[in-house]
Amino acid sequence: MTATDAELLAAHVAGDADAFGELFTRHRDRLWAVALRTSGSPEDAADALQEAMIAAFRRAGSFRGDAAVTTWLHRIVVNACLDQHRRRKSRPTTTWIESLHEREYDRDDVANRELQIELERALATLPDDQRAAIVLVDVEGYSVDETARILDCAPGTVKSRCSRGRARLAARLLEVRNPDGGGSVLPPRQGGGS
Amino acid sequence: MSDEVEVRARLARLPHPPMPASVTAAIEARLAEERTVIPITRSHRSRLNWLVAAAAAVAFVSLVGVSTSSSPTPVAQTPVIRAGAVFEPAGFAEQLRSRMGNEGSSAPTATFADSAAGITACMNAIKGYGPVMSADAGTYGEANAVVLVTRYVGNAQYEEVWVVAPDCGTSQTVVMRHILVDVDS
Repeated sequence: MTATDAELLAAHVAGDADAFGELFTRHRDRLWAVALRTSGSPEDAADALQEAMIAAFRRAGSFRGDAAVTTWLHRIVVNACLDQHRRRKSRPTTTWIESLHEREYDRDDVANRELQIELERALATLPDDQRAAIVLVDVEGYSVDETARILDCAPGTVKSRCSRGRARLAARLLEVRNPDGGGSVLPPRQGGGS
Repeated sequence: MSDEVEVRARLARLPHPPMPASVTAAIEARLAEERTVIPITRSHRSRLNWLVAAAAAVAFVSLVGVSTSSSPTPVAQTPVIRAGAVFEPAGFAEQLRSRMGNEGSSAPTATFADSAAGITACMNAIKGYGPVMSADAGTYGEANAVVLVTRYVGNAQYEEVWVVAPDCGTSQTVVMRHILVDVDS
């Protein structure tokens, strides 16, 4: 029978040498996805995630069971990522200068991929609090209440941050679709061919 | 569909790349250290750097899709690194197909493509997720460029082609062209 997350954490605290590793293996891809988009770069995500896992390993005894183990783990990871991001803000960042994006085939997939890239880039430019909320709610699918527990804030605050962040992202998508301005909402691009 | 609803729908469909093998290895090694006596005279940061550096080769192997498995039927695939490509914007896809058919030999390109770290940095900058299949350095129109072909994560029907500047991944990243190629066409 598969042990639950809480049972694994309890086993780790009790001295089971393999329990925490199993917990990490079980959730690593989702934790990575959160860290990657909260940190803004793979290098920072790797550093922050390692820092977070060591913190969780050492502080497991303080887990009181008043939230899911995954919520507790995500809280530690998100905090580590935001700390890392604040520390690195003065670091030079990569600047994108796109000469051209073209579609070679008249397929929706191409337009969707371009919008996906734009969305990822826009997400990385959001304020930390908005980005973290959107990553957890919209990208990872956590509920508002669970996200509030992870971010240690009120559910209303999560909703507000998501709403403001989505508005910025929507504005960016509008710019992509309508680079000449004009303010009208155009239908999604459907590929153009070359 | 309202703007916000569309944004939420698109966010939910963003790809979820798995944790890279190099990061997994570094964290597992670090956790293994935690299970033993921690030498307090050593800097955690320097150990992390060492682990990340040690895992860099693994990362490159993962990035480029080389199998290190001892499986009897490994699918070995190294990226083809070529210099001297001359591409023109007109008919680019056809030129690319022709060149892809000519495997040639790997050679130094004097671009980011000459190192695993360089390719990794470029892929990070352009938000490319798929393993790199080839890197052709040369010119694209009037500009020096590198053409990267990667697998398209999520749909094996496509390959993703990026035309980038030779210093991709450094201070400025220039994407001159980005297309999906239908491999069945």
